[in-house]
Amino acid sequence: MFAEVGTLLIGFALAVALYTAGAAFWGLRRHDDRWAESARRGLVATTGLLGLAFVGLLVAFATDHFELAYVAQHSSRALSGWLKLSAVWAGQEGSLLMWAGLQAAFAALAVSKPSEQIRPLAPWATVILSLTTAFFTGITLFFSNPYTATATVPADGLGLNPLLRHPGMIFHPPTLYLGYVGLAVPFAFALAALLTRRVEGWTAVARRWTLVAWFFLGLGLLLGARWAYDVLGWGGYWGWDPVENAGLMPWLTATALLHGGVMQEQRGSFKPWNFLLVIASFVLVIFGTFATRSGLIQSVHAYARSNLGAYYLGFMVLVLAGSLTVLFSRRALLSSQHPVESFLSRDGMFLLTLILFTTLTASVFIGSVLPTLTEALTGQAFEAGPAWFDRVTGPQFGALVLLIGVCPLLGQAAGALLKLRSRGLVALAGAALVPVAALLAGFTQPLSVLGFALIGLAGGTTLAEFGWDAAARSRVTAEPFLNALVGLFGRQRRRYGGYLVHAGVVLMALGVVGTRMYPFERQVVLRPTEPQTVGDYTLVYEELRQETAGDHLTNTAVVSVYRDGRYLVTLRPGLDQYPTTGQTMALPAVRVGWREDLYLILAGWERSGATATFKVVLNPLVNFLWLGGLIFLAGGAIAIWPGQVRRATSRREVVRQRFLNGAVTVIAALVLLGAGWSMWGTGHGATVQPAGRPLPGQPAPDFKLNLVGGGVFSLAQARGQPVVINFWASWCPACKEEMPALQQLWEEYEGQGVRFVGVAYQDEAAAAQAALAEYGTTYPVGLDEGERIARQYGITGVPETFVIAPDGTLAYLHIGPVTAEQLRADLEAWVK
Amino acid sequence: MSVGSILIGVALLLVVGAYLARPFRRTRADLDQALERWVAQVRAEKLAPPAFCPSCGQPVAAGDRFCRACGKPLQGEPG
Repeated sequence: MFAEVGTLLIGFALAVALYTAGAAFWGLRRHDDRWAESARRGLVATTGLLGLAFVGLLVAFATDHFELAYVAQHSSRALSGWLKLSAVWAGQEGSLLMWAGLQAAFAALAVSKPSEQIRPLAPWATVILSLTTAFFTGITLFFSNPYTATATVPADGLGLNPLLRHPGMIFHPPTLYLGYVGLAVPFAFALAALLTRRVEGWTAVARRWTLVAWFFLGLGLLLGARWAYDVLGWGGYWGWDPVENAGLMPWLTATALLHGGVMQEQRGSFKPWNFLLVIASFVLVIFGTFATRSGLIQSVHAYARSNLGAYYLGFMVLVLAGSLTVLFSRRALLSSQHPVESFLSRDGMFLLTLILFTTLTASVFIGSVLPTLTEALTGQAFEAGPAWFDRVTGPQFGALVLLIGVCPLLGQAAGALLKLRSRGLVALAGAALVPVAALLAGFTQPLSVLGFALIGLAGGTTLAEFGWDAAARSRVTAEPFLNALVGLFGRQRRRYGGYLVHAGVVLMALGVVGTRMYPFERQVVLRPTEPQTVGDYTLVYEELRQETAGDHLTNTAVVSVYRDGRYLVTLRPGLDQYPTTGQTMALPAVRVGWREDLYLILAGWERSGATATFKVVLNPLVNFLWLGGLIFLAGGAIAIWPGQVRRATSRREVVRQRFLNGAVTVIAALVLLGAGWSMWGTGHGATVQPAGRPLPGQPAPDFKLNLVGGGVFSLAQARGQPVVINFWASWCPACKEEMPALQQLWEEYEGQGVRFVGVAYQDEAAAAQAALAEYGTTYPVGLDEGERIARQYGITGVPETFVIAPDGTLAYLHIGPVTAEQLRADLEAWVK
Repeated sequence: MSVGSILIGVALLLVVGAYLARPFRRTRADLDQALERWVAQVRAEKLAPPAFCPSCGQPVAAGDRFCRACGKPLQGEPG
């Protein structure tokens, strides 16, 4: 039933999408509005049918309908609620269905209630968008149907790939798909503009769609980077993986298109550029899906691999050939009103920007296909690794940052350095201050100093742009400066949203320079309680905790971290093992800092934790990357908003628009806050104890302890003698194990000047006394009231034993039960 | 394919079909307009007023109910 109705829905959706293309075309030919209206409804119906199919799949996942092969492969009964839902797009079938549905929804939205500008373009746009929707729906129906039934219904599903069990995975694929399908809309408008010979206004019409697609693509890329950082456990966020590149390339061309669109609207120039960029964006989207699905290119996203490559390739060639043919046939319409006179003008800078984005895209493209290409040509694959990409794209990104710093200073006319004097000073100050600050913080590589100078220049210009314009507004409107600053965003959202995006990019550049030019990675093998220094940090591995959780085994190492001898944080990196599939998944622990993130991965261990291997990664300035990403997105969101309430016909319309603006603002703020919280609000396996244990060699904290049975023990008075301090409790089974050993050693060493003291942790006098009587303990013991001493020594549980040398410094430390042999070895040096 | 699925399919087909065909449906307003057009056409053909006034012989304009020269009602005017 599920399988049949679901397949039926997708089949109908395909039929309606094809009908829509036909109806729109027929309406265009006959100049008949009824056909156009029917076509518009066709897009809505396609959206509805695909939406129903998608909701059906959600229900099938939520209710464990394992008779569907797709559900059985990607879900299981043990999976928790929200993971079951995200499993819907964990595989190709569900992803494609979602893609097709989103494409239909965007198409329906793009041509519904067309404005005066859009109306002439709408019919052709409908034809193009419904054909695109039909392509994805057809692929889903015939080659990748999520509603395929299994021959025999399994009792339980295979479960979700553990790598995909992350909150980021709920949002990462859908946001990327929103970006991908969104880019089809400006493409359709552009082609419609060419076909109807209205080549002027389409960028303005398509602007909001380009922005929406660009925004979601950017959000998806950022979420993906964060997911890699949190889950993949290699310490980085961007590995130049071909599928990452597949998402980056259309985003680069879309960014270029946004800049080109500004020039087309303001100056009527860059028309051929914009057409080529919009075609490139859409074709690169299809290329990305092709690259992912075909398996032609090796990637971490290989689970999405299938045999659909040929169809995507065919579609891509068709789109590319078709749109270039149309563009060529209309080449006479594309002359510019304002040819670029000089590179030292605003026009020239925009042209340079477009050229840089194009060469960047080309570089990434070449790097992505190079291994495949060289293998086909020479039989030997040339692997373009991350180093290759960094070397090739780094200077180009640097040049873009330079343009951010220089472009706003230039006037419209050739060579006019209009604003250079006042604002230029701020920019130069930035270019001087940032490298100096970086040098003081210890970033001294010459090339990176150049990078910091560029970043300072761009940051200075962007700040000056905000500051001067807000000051000017404040003079005119007599508002306070801050109100004027906020007011700027209200007046010209695209302009100042754009500058906010620039500010985000500048911050991200800081993070990129820090992480790419100062990489630090070490593998260390640690023994419990033996400190080891890595970089500026001292790591003390305490213990390994193992427990089963659902369908997997979790292993967590506890590591306390010190810097300059002072306790900093306790990190708990983990490693989950999935016995059914043999997969393991590292759960890194991160100590977040502005200077750098300390990123710790548990790589393995021996003899249930007697030694453990860790990968230590330092990521300098990486938080500027995340912060910059959020500012970047906020700027994009501001640029998208419709802005001023339009001159409305009725009061109700005004209220409706205000409500819409408010709702969208609240949602955007929540999304950004949520993203911020997931980056800095959660612990990432890091907790800070009130105090850490003293490191070996450091003075042991002094204390006085009221003893059971009278008297006071003072550590200061024991100076000159070795002291064994044992934290224990009468309710603790592990303490019971070690009490005889302690008593035995006490009896051996009492006469040789060794002091023993027991500190009862979270205990009561009566219980403690009873336990002491039971074990026959005779060394002095006291109650640690209010856990004062336990806090001083930073203990995390009982039993723990500290051995203090005669000079009052900590000599040895044991977490967990101690044996007589261990203690004897510790004390040997100080007894005759 | 089960009977239930077929029924759901038929129902979907009807709903979607009706939705898509809606722009082509003749509404009541369309029908009234069409009738009026038809009446006007018939009136023009069959009940065309004579070219000259039967009383005074002066030429009359199309659509006139009374003669502009003598004021007598023109023939063929119903009611």
